[in-house]
Amino acid sequence: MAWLTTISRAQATGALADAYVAMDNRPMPPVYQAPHGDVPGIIQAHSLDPELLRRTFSVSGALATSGLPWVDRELLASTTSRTNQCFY
Amino acid sequence: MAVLQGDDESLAPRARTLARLAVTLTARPWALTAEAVGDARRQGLDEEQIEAAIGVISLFNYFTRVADATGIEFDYPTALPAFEPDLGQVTAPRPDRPVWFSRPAGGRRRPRLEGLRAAWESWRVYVLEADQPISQRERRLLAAVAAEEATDWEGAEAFESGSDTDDQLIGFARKLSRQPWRMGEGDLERLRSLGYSEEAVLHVISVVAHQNADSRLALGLGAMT
Repeated sequence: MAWLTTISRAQATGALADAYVAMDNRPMPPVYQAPHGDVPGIIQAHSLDPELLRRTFSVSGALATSGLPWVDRELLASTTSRTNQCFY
Repeated sequence: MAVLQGDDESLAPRARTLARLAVTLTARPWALTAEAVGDARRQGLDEEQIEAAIGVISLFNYFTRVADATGIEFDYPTALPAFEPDLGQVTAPRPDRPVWFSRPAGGRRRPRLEGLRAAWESWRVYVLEADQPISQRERRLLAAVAAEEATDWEGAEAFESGSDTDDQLIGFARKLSRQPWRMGEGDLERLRSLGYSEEAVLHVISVVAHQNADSRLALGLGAMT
């Protein structure tokens, strides 16, 4: 359980529910689908502010369509996480 | 696996170049040189791809700090051994602020990729300029500490503490910037004890994490010229 309050898909209403639907509809590799069926933790971490959620993940959406191959983006993300001693 | 094991020698040359770019911009952003960017060009990346690479590294300097500060759990089962952070990892010493600093001509460097520039700017304005649920003054203070920790002298405004609460915010921003892997639930409890709501705590985390990303974006793009 996260240290900060988060809101699951089942509890979401209004703007947050809309933001979760928009995130679900983004094109993404199947491997990114969280097996627990709920919204991934890094997205739920922003759930107290749907506008912050929307603007933050617009940046990752822009990078996904930038022309840098997916494998390169994964390598960069993994290396950055490891350098920061982070599991994410 | 090679990246996860910290063994970039076993990677292909292009992957090794990208991995080194990510390590440097993340751990020693002041040390990213035009030569490192030149290595990426020699591996066949064009200017837009290099810009996107710097964007990915910078964005993940945001996500990792949000993950570490909020205590979210891992979403995916894996056959690999569970990741155990090295809590004793030592942060590279930061160089001092230079006595003379000249701002680059043309202002702070921003992405040329239109979609990335627009999305980043919309994000930046919301995180750094909103006046709820924390004040603009609090945002400036947190961002100034994070920019200083990234040695982003162009983005690091002068700041000073005016209260015990300011001291706590400065300490929080330094820890999350410098050693995010050492964040704990107690760090959030201290903010709550000062009266910060759950949404305000999210914004404190977001400002610090965002400035870590924004400073690396500016320093990375600066190395492209």
